[in-house]
Amino acid sequence: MPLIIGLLIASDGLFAQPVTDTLSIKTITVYTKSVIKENAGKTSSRIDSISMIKALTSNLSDLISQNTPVFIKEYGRGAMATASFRGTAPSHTQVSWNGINLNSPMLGMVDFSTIPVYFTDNVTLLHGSASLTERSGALGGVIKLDNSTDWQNKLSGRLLTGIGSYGTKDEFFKLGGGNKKIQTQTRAFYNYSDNDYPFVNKLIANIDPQTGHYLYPTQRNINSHYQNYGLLQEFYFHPDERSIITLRYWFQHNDRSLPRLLTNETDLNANINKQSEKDHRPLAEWKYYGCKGTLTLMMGANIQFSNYQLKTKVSGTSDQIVTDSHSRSATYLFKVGYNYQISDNLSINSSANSEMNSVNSINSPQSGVSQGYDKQRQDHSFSTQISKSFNDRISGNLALREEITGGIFTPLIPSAGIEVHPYSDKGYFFKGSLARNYHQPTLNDLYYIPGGNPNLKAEEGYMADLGSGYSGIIGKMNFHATVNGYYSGINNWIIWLPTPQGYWEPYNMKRVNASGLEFNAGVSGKFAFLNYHVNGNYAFTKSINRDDPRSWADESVGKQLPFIPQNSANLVVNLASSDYYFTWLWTYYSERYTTTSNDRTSPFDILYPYFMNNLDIGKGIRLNRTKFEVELKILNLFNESYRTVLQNPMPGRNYSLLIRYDF
Amino acid sequence: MISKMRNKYFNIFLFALTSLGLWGCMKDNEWVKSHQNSTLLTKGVFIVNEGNFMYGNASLSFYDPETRKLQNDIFQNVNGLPLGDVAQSMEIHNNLGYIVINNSGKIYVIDPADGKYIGKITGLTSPRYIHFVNNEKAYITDLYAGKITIVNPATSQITGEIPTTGHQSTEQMVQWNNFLFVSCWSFDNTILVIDTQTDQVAGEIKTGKQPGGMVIDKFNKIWTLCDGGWARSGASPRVPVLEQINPSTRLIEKSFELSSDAAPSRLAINGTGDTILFINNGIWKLGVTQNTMSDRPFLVTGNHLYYSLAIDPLTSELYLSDAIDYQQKGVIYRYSPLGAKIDSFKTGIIPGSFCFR
Repeated sequence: MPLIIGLLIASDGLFAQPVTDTLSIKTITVYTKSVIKENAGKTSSRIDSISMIKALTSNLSDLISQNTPVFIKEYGRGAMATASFRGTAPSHTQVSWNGINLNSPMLGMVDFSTIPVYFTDNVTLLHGSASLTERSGALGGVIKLDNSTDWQNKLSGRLLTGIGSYGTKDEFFKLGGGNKKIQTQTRAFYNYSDNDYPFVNKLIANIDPQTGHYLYPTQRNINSHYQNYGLLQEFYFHPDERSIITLRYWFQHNDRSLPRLLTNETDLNANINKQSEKDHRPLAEWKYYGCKGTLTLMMGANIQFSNYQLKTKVSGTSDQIVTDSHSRSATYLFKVGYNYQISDNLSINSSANSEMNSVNSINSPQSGVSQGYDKQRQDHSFSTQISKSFNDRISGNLALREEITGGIFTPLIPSAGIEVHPYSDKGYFFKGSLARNYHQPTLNDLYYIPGGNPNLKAEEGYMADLGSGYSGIIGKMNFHATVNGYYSGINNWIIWLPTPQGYWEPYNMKRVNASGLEFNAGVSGKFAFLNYHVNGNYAFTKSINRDDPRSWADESVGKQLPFIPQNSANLVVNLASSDYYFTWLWTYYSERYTTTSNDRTSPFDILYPYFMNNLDIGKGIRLNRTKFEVELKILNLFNESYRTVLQNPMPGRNYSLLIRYDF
Repeated sequence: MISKMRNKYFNIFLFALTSLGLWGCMKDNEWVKSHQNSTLLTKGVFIVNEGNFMYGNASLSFYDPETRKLQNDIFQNVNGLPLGDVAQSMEIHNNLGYIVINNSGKIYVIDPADGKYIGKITGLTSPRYIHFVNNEKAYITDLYAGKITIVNPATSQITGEIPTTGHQSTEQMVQWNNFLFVSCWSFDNTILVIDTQTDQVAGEIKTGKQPGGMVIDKFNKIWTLCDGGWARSGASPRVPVLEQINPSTRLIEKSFELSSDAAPSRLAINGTGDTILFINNGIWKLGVTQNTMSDRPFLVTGNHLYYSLAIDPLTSELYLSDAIDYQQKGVIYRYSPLGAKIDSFKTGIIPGSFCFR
């Protein structure tokens, strides 16, 4: 077997090709010769390289909402964004960065607004049961962020600078180089925004004393500036023919204020809040390619410090601190994996994972009062998977996973998948998979004071997937389309509910059923002078509460979970001609309920459907080995006034001008 | 040829762009449309529905016990404006309704006859309750400000403040003669005494942990319910108490230790000032002259989680709310003074307080 080192395994790289000449994407995708499809039957999708390039200066929440069927709940511009994958809760979407989990062991979720697309090279979604190849606990799925290197690179760099509406500044930097033995790559970014966009506040009004008419104030989104910066350093060593050593370190600092609600009419000095986070993520990996097997050893950590402060400025005295919370949450990971090719059509993959999760959280809800917890949990997992190609049309796999969480063995987690290419045209496929999965309570669920419930059970998911698709060339056009249906039952779903003690406590709901359809299609090619690339997603999601009613009056049973849209869609159209290009991004979510009973009697019971149009126009200039590019981004093209949650205004049409220099 | 083709593409492009316009149009204004011009509110009870914290979905309902007619979302429907985030309490004074919107830092003033918004008091920090001393002076307590704000109800202007040094949170108020008794609830154990003639703190009374509700009985004794604070792991368990205070001596005269299985809340007194009720899992009842608490509740919880309680001052009928899971419209149960169920109806998210008109 020839060594396949430093190559991206990209079965869907095909769709990245057509516009490359004008967009100048370095084509580094090379295919492996492996005939075994190790994830046969399981649904994964990779965000194509054009979309990655287009989103280079965005955060992960924009990339995911514009290119995948995952719903992103965004609380405002620059504010928190959480994911709902296949109708599940934010903690059911796990984000993995080169193998380490970025979900906070304290909160269980990831704030997608804090992850810069610039720091990743590949984004892959592992839907439902496919996530078990990466880790357990992702009842919705895994969003996999990976970095890679180009061993041919001698010296290359990039500078990207942008200015935008509302005092927004973006700076991105990248420098990489080396030889066939060693490569280094350094990336850094800095974002700042005053974020003080104007809006007409229609949720409060003053009465005109003369006419008695309402006067809606024009306000600015004050107290919501943000400033983020980060550094990603990578070293790749290739000491001999058979091994690669990778060292990575990601540091990031986020600072932001959270804007007030639209109905807020407090004193301007009151209730000022500030949130800051510091992340350290070191990671080391050694891969050894034997004749038939590949051994991977990995060590890493994800350490997050966060602080939230709410204060009121009182004239003449020092600031009155209302709330001050500090936390330190950390995940330390050690992982061993071994992939063994028994024969040309049979392989086995095994891994052992050991994670130490720890949280130290202190809240001071009032000066002089502090409460918190300091807890650790060790989580170990062992998994093994057998993958087999029965002939050139049918392949399948079987996997088993065992986990020990805080010293307690969870029941075995099995999963199986099968994929069939029934026709001589290999572009058609049918696939299906079955799996069980567990999601452990977060450390806040177990220990938060007050309310943490150490008796919580893990959430248990059963999931089934069926899918079909086609990819191939029709005429001169590359075409692909896939449709997936899934059904999952999640027992012991964790929610926080009020108690007679006056605080909230997490509790295991009986069951949530999440089912739906995911549809993806794309075309690309060249027509006359135009290179085109079009990709769209549509998702239908039902996420239904199957708990027991709490009393006769409880109308939440049998209803869609709040804030999960039943329909969502997006479309990206890229057109490029000579050095010019044009990208249109359209995103849609149907209405979302704000109550568990899916009431629709009050105006605040429903968030109206969301439609968003963004446009990018750019021109590239190439001079020998260097390239300049100028891009204008127009966000909220039709200047709509809208909200994505009930009470936070979003900006009207706004612009961003980017200048990019690559060598 | 090429130019013709370009032209054709350009037209397609233009067509595509303009048709996009139809794909847009988010309905941000639907929200502010008023649905009805006015409504007639006669005798009955306003129900203030808190709404979810940071959702801004508080609402106002009105129920007429005679006709059993219920009107929900009055403020929004009449005014085309949302009430705000976390509506805490409501008072009627001088034929005007004052709704305290805690996490919006304001008090809406409405005409209680039709729900019409006629003014507001803004610029507060985290207001909880309003108490009227006279037509020109009212006090507003605050969860975080460390002061009581003085306003002139006639002008809706802030006219002064009473710093409550050492006490960040001020909660409920009852007045006895010229003295106002203010409970300091959050992480505190004090009732402050304010002289309403000088607007000065004139003394304080130490109580059990976290005094919240206060009522005054027919013998002019003040009762306060202390929820005992949070039960913290490792720390000693909470000790909730119900205390009777003599306002002239400022001494605690009676104290009842309550079950620590729950945080007792919502102290209320009947129309004749002789019986007090509160929630502590079930509904508990105590005659003001009683010296021992009965060992079982007046109404049991069943599968309800009672959130709030109020007594109609005229009929002494009981109104109880169950917020269910706090994310759907809560139910109000109406009981006779003897505990027979009369009616039940759904109002809004987290029905928290009542105001009888």
